[in-house]
Amino acid sequence: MAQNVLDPLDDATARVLQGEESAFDEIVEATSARLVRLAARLMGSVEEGEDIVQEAYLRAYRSLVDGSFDGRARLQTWLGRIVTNAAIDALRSRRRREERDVALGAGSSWEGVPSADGASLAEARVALAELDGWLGELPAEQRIALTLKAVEGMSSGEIAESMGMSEGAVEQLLVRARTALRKRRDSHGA
Amino acid sequence: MVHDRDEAFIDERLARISKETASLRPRPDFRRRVQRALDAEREADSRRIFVRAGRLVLAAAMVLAIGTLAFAAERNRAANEATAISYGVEELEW
Repeated sequence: MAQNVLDPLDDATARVLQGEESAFDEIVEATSARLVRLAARLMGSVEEGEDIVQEAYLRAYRSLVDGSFDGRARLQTWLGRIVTNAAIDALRSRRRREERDVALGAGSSWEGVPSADGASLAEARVALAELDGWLGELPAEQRIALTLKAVEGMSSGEIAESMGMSEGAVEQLLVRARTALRKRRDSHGA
Repeated sequence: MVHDRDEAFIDERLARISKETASLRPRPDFRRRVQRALDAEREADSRRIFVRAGRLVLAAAMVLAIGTLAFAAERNRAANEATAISYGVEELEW
């Protein structure tokens, strides 16, 4: 017997679209862990990742309430796309800020790895700092594409959808990112 | 050969980082912060609706006032004409 069981996230989305604004809290509850992990990996920092996800939720809420969410993509995919694009913008701004700081002779704004969040979270933070330090010199789009592919485990098609570009363009970004990392390794090894 | 080794190094390092960051969760106050931001957004929405409704009422009141003024001006003009005609009639009779 066929059953028409609605996914809880689709159900919450439908209820927000019908005017039940409080159903959005269920969307936050169901998606925040995954989105914060994604954003933290893209940014190399839990704090910046959380800021990006918070902004993404506000954007999504406005789009759902004012009816501009067209529903072509599933909500989770759409939220992931908002987070990815916000991360690209944030990384570009960070790069500009760092270049300005270097030009002004200011010190690094990196505040070190916060601790005392529990052993596994501390380990995760160390890994994020390592990721950020390693991929920090790559252009934002190369860094995001490589992180989505190798850390998030997404396919090139999914990355293309997330970043709003063709699969070919994603493949090019991945090749360039890997070439840059190899060159850097060679120059450090030399 | 070196190229393959480098590729493997990149993949292994990223796979290890992926594993080590798999336990990442939002900090405990994250949902509360999002909730506060959403509440502020909802409050701003209510204010926007109130302001929009206020603007509509104001616009309707202005249209009504202009209509009333036009009606009053027309009535006044008609009354003046009637008076002038009656004066004219009186003058003719006088």
